[in-house]
Amino acid sequence: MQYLLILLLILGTTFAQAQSDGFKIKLPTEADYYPIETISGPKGLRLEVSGITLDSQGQIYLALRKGEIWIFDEKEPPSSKHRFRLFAEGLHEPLGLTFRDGWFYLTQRTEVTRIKDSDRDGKADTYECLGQPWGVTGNYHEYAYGPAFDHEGNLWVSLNQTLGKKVINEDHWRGWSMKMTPNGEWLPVSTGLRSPCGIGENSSGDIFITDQQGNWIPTCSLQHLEPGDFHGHVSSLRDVSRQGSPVKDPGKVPSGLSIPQAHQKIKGFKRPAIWFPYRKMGQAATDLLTDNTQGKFGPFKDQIFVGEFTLSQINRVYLEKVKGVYQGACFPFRKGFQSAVFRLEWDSKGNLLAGETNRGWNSLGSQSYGFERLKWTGKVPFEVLKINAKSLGFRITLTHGVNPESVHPESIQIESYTYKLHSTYGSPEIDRKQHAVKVLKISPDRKVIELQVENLRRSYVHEFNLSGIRSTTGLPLLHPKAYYTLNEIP
Amino acid sequence: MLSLRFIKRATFTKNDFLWFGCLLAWGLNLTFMKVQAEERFSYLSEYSARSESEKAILGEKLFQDLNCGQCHQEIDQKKILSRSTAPNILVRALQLDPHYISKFLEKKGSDWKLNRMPEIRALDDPEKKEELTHFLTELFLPAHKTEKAERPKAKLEKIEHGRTLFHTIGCLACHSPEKGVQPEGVDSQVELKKTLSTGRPLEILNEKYTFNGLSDFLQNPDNNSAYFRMPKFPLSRSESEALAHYLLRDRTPTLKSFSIDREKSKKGKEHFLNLGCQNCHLSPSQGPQLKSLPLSSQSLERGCLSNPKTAKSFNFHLNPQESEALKAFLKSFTQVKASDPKSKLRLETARLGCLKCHQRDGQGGPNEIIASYFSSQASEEDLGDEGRFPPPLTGVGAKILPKVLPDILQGKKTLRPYLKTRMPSFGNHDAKKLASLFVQADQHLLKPEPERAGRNARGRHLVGSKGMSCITCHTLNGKKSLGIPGLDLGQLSDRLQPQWFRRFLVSPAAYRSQTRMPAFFDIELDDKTLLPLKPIPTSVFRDLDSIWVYLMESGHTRLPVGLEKTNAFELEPKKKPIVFRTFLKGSGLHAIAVGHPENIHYAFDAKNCRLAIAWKGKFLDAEATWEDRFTPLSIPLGKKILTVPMEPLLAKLPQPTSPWPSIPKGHKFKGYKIDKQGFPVFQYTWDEFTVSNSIKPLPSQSKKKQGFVQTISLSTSVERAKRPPIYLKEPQSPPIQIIEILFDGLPVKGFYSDNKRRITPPLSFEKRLSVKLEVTW
Repeated sequence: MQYLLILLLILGTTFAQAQSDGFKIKLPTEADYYPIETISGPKGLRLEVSGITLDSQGQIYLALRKGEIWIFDEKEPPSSKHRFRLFAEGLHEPLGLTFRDGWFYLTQRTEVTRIKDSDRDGKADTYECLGQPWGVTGNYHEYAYGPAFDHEGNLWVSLNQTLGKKVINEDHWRGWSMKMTPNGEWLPVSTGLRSPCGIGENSSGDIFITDQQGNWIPTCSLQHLEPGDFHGHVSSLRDVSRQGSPVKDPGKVPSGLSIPQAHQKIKGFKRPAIWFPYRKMGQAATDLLTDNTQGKFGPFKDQIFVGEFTLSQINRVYLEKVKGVYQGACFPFRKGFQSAVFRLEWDSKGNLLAGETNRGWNSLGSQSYGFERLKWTGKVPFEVLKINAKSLGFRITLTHGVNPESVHPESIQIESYTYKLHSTYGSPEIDRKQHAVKVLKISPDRKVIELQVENLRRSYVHEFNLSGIRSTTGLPLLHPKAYYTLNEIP
Repeated sequence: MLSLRFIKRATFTKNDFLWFGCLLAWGLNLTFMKVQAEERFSYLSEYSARSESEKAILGEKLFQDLNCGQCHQEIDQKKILSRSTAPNILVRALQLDPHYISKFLEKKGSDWKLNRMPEIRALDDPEKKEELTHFLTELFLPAHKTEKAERPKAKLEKIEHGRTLFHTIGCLACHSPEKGVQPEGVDSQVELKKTLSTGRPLEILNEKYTFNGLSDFLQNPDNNSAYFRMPKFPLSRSESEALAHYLLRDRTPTLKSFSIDREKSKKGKEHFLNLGCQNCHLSPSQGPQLKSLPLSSQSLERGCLSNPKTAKSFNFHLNPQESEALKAFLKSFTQVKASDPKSKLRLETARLGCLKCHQRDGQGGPNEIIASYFSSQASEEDLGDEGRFPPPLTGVGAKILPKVLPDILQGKKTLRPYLKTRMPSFGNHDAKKLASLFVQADQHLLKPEPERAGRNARGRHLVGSKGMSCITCHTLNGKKSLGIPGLDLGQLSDRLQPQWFRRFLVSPAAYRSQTRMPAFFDIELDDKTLLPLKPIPTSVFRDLDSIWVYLMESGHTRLPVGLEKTNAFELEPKKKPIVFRTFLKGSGLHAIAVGHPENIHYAFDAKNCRLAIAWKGKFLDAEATWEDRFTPLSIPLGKKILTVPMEPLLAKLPQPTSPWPSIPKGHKFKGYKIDKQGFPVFQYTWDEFTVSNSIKPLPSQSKKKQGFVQTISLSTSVERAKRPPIYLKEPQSPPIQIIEILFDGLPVKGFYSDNKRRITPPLSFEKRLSVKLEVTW
């Protein structure tokens, strides 16, 4: 045999990978760790899943964009008529669904509603309106997302900007996040969002929201949301003087500042915790979901999974707090869904459910809607688990030990760039720079690499290319790219 | 037509007009060329000629633009270079303000060094100049009279329309934006300063053009000559008028009359004839053409090419760069071969200003400030920058079929209706030349490639919503896309090189960096170039070719799945009521439509908490809500739509005689309950009251009497003495009748204290009020 063949054992399974001379054995793929199960609905039902939740029994409920809620009853065999059952109908494009104390909470275009099956005949009969606090102009892009409960019992929603033609002029609180307190009072919280498609809590109980590239939003982002924040889209500033606004008027926002400049000059401007570089990490971020499965879904405890519309994939985010500010790294996680990944939820076994619909836009994949489930096989992929910022560089933690010989300045490339906050659609990556890297230390378990990186730049994305790194068993990283948003340097 | 009109009014011979046009050309140059730095030809700064052959290429262009061939005819036997860029004076005479002539001849307010027309020494003589002024002013008088008589009053909205056009259609590629007119969000002071240094101010137009003259000029800036500088934008007559209103918004035509000295004018006409203007200016003149001395190697340092300070009869004020280039060109007939298509293309795109709007090979595109004025008819979330900026010209010679390229370069066959910027035309001659340069320069991109094999049926599947769903984002032969209004696919096969189509679809972002189109095929791409790392598999080619075949045949073949009309969305209540929330015409954006098997239906307005409309026949089509991305208002399908007046049934009045409110106030929608039969019962609050509102078909429906019974029930825990009194007003429209009123469960008879207004006295119930109404129509 002329070639070198290395057989490896990872958690009881063999993967082989090749090193030379034209002979190649297939490297493991995402599907080897996280296979996708496609769940088809009954014939004739367009399963445009726009909301997923579980009731107290762990039963799965799916909201569909056309305005229905269906029960997905896994106890019924796939051939059974009763596997999918209609629970509620006649709703106006619900884009989120959650369950609490016997009630299903959902957003419609014009209101937040909770519904219940009071007479227990299997179909909802009580539809309670919890408020119509935002303006609706009839514009097609005025999506209302959420709702999501936080640990204090506040119910959060996020409201898309009006983009284009209106029927009437009632556009208050568009581009805002709002919450309903446990007493039923509606409060606007932060502003300057464009298409804030996902909202939810992280493991520390802070509220996060995704946003999508467009005018004033240079690329998709994950925002930490606090009262009074201005996230960058100027159209919603018209409401800062409205009664109840916690946001102070930042004055005229100039177009064309870089993010570091905007951070210095614009009062209240909040830098996102994560920038998702365009195309590299997707083109339209959707839902977010914190891993609270206690290890049932793999090694990514407390990290956040983020859906991606155009590229039909799921990304992963690791967050840390530096000088009181959230920041961290994002990584591609799993591609290959059949349509735009729109909603995420855990099932009772800790599998990741993905609701899909791409109506109105386009996405990769073979379908325009669907419902899929991502399971963990129990094998841990060779991945960057997390990246932490250090005062002079970064610390990279991996899921498996590295071959130290593969760790050297050439196998770790770091480039930084930032964006422009401007009125035009999206921003190019600007002010790019390559950073010289020095490997300081590899931990005894070979999972932690300490790096010294020259001239770290505050408010810049630091893009990592680690394609040269090999595990002790010779594997490359399943995803060698990572993007760290460095808001603050420790 | 224009020239005839002019001749009738002014009775001059055709020769008379030569001088006039010559001067006009001069004037034009002065106003438009008040440009960046000290460049008379803006392309000199963009095209740096290094080698002798590049200089010769530049020289050839200058030879053309300075009209040298008009006198030095022996250089240009084939007349390739000798077409004049000077305007047709017959047309011009109808466009300009006669007062402008004297200012022009006095060289006022303009920088003569930036002028293309030579300075003519003979005009240093003040007497000659005056005579010429008389002659030319006389020529201009008709335009003066026309303006006095015919200029329409500038309406504010016309000026505003012109302002919008000026700042969106592409004028800003060459001219400065108006101070203070900025796209939303652009910070004013700093940035505007930056643009002013590159823009060309247009204030002088106010004293130069008449209103009709400018409007005509904008319609036809080519003046029927083969070469022209200001390109022709596709403008309707009312658009060019709006632009003229805008550009001349500060114009106050001088109405003082002229005293023309006939004698002087006559002499002026002689000067006009004797100085050879007809060499350059297209006119119907039969006059003699001046001929220059033949060029020789010695003459390269003499005549027009001699030192500008000592130049004699004609002084072109050539700068060293210009003279060098002209000399290199003249030498090239014997010494230098100049046939480098890339350099020629570089110069040509600089000269025509292509790269002021387009990019090519990463170069050019609008500068940052001007870029902010580019906008889209579509909304930005749909097409992003692609919806605002014209397409890049990178590889365009290998992208567009050579036979259609000249048309496209003339702004014909435009494919992107969402761009507000319009592609102007520089004329057939330049377009053909530019097209052939593009094709030559990009020839190397066309490579031999695998054979083509596509099937219509497969292509139809891929284009349709069950395949790659191209129709989600692309119009197809005028049929609206399901989503984003991207460019029409039906036209593509008539204009694209099939090879380019194949490559583009594999990796759109490699060709348009800001595109929103994803790469649909699972092909590994290089991170930096975004081009495929490995050869493209045959199966992918087959799919691409099938799409191509389908698009070629799409005008006369089945529409793809997703565009074929189905009537799948009609909602038909069969056994139980259907409750359906939607945006609904007549009921507003918070509508809850309820359909019944009895074929009578209504909509409840969940914002104002009231019955809004009712109708008979078919119920609703859900397409607007379930399918159409733009969520238009749904429209009741049935007939006999009853619109219920907004005026509330019950109200709190400060005084019994106070006016009745026109809309319900203080209502908060609280939802609905579906009862056992499937009827929704609406719940809301009205200040201290909780209200339920049930609307059901009459128990017995007949042809004579069809309709609903509505029961409105209020209850409260607030004592009667502690709340304001409630009044009831009998509905005025006959289809709605009160049939029962209950106070705390006990029936009362209808009574009205104010019979004229049909308003009751304060309703005297303690905790509960119920009103039952019949709605029949």
